[in-house]
This record gives sequence, C-alpha cells and structure tokens, in this order.
Amino acid sequence: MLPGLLAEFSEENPASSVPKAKVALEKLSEQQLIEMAQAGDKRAFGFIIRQHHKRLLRFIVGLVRSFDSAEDIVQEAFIRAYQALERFQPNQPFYPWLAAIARNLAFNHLQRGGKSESLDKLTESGYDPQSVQLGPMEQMLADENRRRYFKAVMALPAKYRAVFVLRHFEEMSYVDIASYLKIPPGTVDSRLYRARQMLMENLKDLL
Amino acid sequence: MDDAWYRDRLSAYADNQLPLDERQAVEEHLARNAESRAILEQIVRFKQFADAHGDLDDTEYFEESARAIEQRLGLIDQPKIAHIARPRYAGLGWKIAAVAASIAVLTFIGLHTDQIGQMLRSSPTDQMSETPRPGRATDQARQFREQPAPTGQPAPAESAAAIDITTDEAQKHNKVEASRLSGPIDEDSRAAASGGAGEVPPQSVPESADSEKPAVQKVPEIYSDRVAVDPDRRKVAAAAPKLERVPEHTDSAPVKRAEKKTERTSAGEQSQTGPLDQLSQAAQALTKRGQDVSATHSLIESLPKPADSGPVESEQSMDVWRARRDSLLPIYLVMTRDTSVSGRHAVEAAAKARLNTGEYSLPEVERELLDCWYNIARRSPAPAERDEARAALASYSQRQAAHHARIAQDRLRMLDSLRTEEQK
Repeated sequence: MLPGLLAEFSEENPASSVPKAKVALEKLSEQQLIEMAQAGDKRAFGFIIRQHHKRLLRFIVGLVRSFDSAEDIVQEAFIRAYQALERFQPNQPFYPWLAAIARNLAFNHLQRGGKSESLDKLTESGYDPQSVQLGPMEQMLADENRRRYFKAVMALPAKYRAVFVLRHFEEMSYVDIASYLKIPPGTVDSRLYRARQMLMENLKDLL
Repeated sequence: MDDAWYRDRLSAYADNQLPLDERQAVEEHLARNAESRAILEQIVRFKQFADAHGDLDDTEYFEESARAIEQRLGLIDQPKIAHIARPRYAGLGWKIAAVAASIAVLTFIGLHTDQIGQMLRSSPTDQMSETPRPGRATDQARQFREQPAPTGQPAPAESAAAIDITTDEAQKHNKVEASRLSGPIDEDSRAAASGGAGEVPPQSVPESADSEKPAVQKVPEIYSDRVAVDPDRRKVAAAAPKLERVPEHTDSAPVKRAEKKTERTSAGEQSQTGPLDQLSQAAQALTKRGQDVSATHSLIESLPKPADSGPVESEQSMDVWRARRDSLLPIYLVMTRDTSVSGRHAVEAAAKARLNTGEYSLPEVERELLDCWYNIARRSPAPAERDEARAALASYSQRQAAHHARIAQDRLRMLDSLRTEEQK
C-alpha cells in the first residue's frame, strides 16, 4: 500500500479532509464542529455531545418524568442524530434539530407506555410533589432547593408540565409551543400561568 | 375581558410573549389592579428562582454518559470482542492427563472386551473363585464373571478396575496393555475411543499442538470463546498481530437501497450454500416475539458453524479476520432479525453471556464486522473472497437500520480508490 494511504488509515489522521494538527475544539464555531463531524472527526462529535447533553437530558426528564427512560432516549437521540448527520445543514442551529429528535422519541415513549399520559388529555388532579422520587437524578441536584424545585416540576400534571418544560428548559416561544403541542396560543398562556401558580404555591417558602 | 383572562395573560406578559394589542390591554389592567400586580411580581420572582435552580450539577455523570454514547457510536476505542488468544487454559495439564487416562482405559476395554471375557471365563480366577482371597476378589468381580462378556461394547470402568486386581496373570496383562497404551494411539484406537467412550469436552483439547495427541474426538467449537477456532489453527490465532481499526471519514451521498444476496466463496471454490444463508435461515427462527433468554441461548448454540475457510492463506492475519467475521456474523444476524424490544434484549443478553463481554451491543457488533469485511476485502489474496467481503460491505451500507452505514460507504470508497491506485 502506498505510504500516503497508510497515513490516511491511521488513527492520528482519521480523515484527509480534517486538519492534521489537533485543533482546540472550544474555539470552533458550531458550524465548524458539525462540518468536522460530518467529515468523520470523532472528537468533534464527542464535543458536540458534551455541549448539549446536559440540557437535553434535563428537558427529556421533564417530559417523561423517568430518569432511566430519559437516559435511554437521550442516548438514542444522539445516535440517530449521528446517523443522520450527513443530511444536516451545518449552517442551521444544531440543538433544535437534536431536541426535535429527542422530543419525538420522548412522545413515542409516553404513548407506548400504556399510561395514557398523552400530554393534552391528562387531568389536573394528582399534583403531589412529596410523592415524586427523583431516583438517580437526586445526586445531580446539589442542594435541597433544587431537589424541591425538580420534584415540584416532575409532579405537575403532564399537560402543564409539557408547557412548562418547553418554556423553561427549552426556552421555546409561546407560538412554537402552541404549534408543537397543537393547542391554541391562548391555551399555552393559561396552562403556563396555571403551572407557575402550582409551583409558586408549593415553593412559596423559597421565593 | 374578565379578570381571569388578564390573569392567564400575566405569565405571557412576564415572558414578553404577548402580541402588542394584548400587551397594551394587560398594562392597562395592571395599572388599575393591585392584585394582578402582586401576582406579576410573584411570577417574576419565580422565574428568577427557576432560572437559578434549573441546572443539573453532576459533571462526572455527564462525562461518563457522553463516553457511553461515544462507545455506542464507535467514536472511541472499545474492548475488542474477539480475543482469540485469551488465556483460559488454567490447570490444563491436569485436565489433559485425566482425559488421556480415561480414554486409555476405555480404549483398552473397548478393544479387548472379547479377550477379557475369555480370560475371565477360562483363567484361574474360576478356580480361585471357589476359595477367594479375602479382601481381593470382590462381589463385583464375581458378578462380572458370571455374566457373558458383551461384545463390541466397552465394559464398565468399575468392573474393569475390579478385574484389574483379581489375578496375577490379569495384572501382568494389564501392565503390558498399559505400557502399550502409553505410546502413540493408532487410528483404530481413536475411532474406538470416540465411538465407544463418548465425547470429550472441547475445552480439554490442549493448546499446544503435540504430535502425540490423545484420542480426542474433534468437537467443533461453535463460536467458542468468541471465535470458531479449529484446534489446528490456534497457533495462527495466538500469533496474530493486533487488529487494525480503520477510521471512518468523509461524507457521502445516500445510496439507494437494494438487496444483494451475498454468497461466500472460498479461495477459488464456490460453496453450495454459504454460511451466510445457513445462518440467515437459522436466525429467522427468532422472528417470533417473546422468546425467553434460554430459548435464544439455545438457538445461538445451535447455529451452524461456518464452513471451514480452507488452508491458511499467505497472510496470517486473514485467518483472524475470517474467524472474527464468522463469530460475529451469526450474532449480528440473530440480533437484526428480531426487532421486538424484548426479543432484542433477550438476544443481546444471550450474546453477552455467550461471548462473556462487559459491553456488548448491536452497534458494536456491526462495527467489528465492518472492520472484518473491510480488511478481508482489502487484503485477502483470493479475489473471490475479496469480492464477497466487498459485497457484504455494500449490502450492509444499504441497510436502512445499519448503525454505521456512513462508515461502510466510506470504506467502500477507500476500497475503490485503492483498487484504482493498484490498477495505475
């Protein structure tokens, strides 16, 4: 085999289109990172995973309320994103695309779960933060106030929780939330107001 | 608009998400309603609290989890599945000695059943039976003598042991036979041992290829210890170089899906039914949902061993790649045939138990297979085998469910460019 080709097969230089010298990934823009990942740079996609992992996990935990399920969904979302990476336009923001994959997986999970916890059909009843068990997630919440906050969010009925999580964790606009959940914009207003009221009531000693 | 309408809009107002007309209406309402102003203050305070307490902390967890994702994607090195030269023969010497001794005794009995029977019937033991020496001739021996000796079948070992100490003549005879058996065993003896004495566990086969092997029936090790290893090829496997990991890179256009049936061929010869077909047929049995782990386990056990790929090729590492491919392919086929979640987990659990690896999943198997196919397609001295491996790679790259389709496409391009270089 030709020496040039041999060099191309080596781990040090995984792809001919990627710079030979190791670049500081922190200094690169998201678009550059995605282009590198599309060209086969393993480090670049690893860096992208680390950039978005925490935010995505928090979001999905908020939706599915189970840490274990959320963990699986997040992993699967990254894998699907990687498999479809070549079709992604690098000039677009990456996270919304990734979050959309994860959201779809999460909603499929909820619908498959047999709990009939479809997000816009669940009743308001059953809001009891004391009964919520955070499980392994408890270790990720350094102080008691955070634990109480997450427990209260997890205990929200699904239709309020979805709106709250999309707004607070994902920072989606009201219009986008309405469009995504297929509910009128006015309903987003009232559900978010109701969700915040419940949380404020429960956490009033901390506010 | 009543107070409830205004209250519902307070959250949106705090988030600056109201259209202009509604925003003006809410501001007018707030100017004249103290209760709504108090609620708005609470909402703003709550937003600040939520922003300050909405983060997760455990960076160690996220690092571990990110690494797990990278492993699943094959972005970082992971433990090899096919550890061919794994030291697993602790205490082998004793096992070999025990097996050899058992075979020697059973072979002797199998070969000399008639003589033993005659000896027992006509030897002085008949006379001695009238006045047995206390503590020497046992009841078992007497029972044995009274029965006609079976022909063509080995005598029970405990009876033989009883005979062994009955008479001086018999002792002499046994010594002669024992010395005879300590030498190399001829083919007849082997046949008798394998036919009459039963099977010997394949784990007992010694690793070193001595010229004087005990009469052990060659039981094929189907995917044993991750690789189907012919005992004669163990040395090759043990001396194999470290396997090369080929990086994936470059983007590629999506390839249209087309089913290609690959048929395995040995160097120059076309096999009648390729192992891929056999394994595929066997794996189809897994399409039923709800099979438990043990059933899956037994199915994996019963998968046919891929045909022997023939003599060792000029490059030793080819054997290693072939062995790895043959060990992984059935697992891959089993895993991909059953798409039900429970079935998939059962299969993975069974495969994990079978291969005794800590981390084991379908993407990992696919990744390993890609390496095998690529290296065979690149290095095999047999053109037919090269084409077959390339066809397998192409077929995999077109699978919709393939985890590493892009990598496969990259490698196909690498092979093409290599071929072009060679032609030049």
